[in-house]
Amino acid sequence: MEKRRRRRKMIPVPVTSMGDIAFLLIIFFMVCSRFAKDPGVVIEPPTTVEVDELDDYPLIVLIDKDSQIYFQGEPIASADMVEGEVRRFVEGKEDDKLRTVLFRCDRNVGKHVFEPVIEAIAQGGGRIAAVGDPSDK
Amino acid sequence: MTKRQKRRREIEMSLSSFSDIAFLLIIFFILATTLVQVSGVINEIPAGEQSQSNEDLESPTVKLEDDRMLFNEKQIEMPELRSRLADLKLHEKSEDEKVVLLEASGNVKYQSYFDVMASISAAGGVTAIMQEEEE
Repeated sequence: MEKRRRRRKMIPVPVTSMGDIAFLLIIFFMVCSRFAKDPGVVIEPPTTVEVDELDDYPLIVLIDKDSQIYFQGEPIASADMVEGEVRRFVEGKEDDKLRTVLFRCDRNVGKHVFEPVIEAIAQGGGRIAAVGDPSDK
Repeated sequence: MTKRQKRRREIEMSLSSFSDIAFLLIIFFILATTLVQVSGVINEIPAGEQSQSNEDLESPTVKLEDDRMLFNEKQIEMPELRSRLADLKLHEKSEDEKVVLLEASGNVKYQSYFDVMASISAAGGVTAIMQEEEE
């Protein structure tokens, strides 16, 4: 019996639309991403029972475990400078979101470091969003 | 004279590598992105006069010391503070009556300070920082 051989036709897969889909995904990631303003700053956040989800605020003040203060990711010398910087940013802004300062501080930092910074933010006209993690106790 | 017509050859661009580049970029974004939801508490700390004396104020006071906490001069623990603050029904009060004074002395860590601020905020109060009296 003669074996009948079928000749397979190569069907080309159109890949043109693949690039379009891929670029749409890239645009999605680029729009949704926000770059961290605190690269490399090591902070162990405090914990408490009741925390809310915080939005993305334009200002950020950090105090790391070595008591170094940062404003918008840049190290600054003292708490006194925070007041002026915050005032400069929030001046004329009445929207609560625009004058909210995200405050991240290491849980082991002492009162003599964080309290002047909190006061400086308040004196500068900022509203404090203190970052902390939820705990169960 | 016959006009010689040139037949243009259509040049097709190869787009197969285009999607490879795009997918490489996607992989980069996926790896570089960290999805973080920040949590915490919002406090509207009044920017008051620093010379204001303690005697003028009748607001409840939380005092943090190195290893203990006082609420209106009585020593309490954190769960009790939460219930005491809830009993005050600060949500229903006017802006001035919502104020809870927070005083820290010694070398209080941010952990306990944050815990108190969060409790005041959860109870509907407004934290006001009280400076330690200098001797």
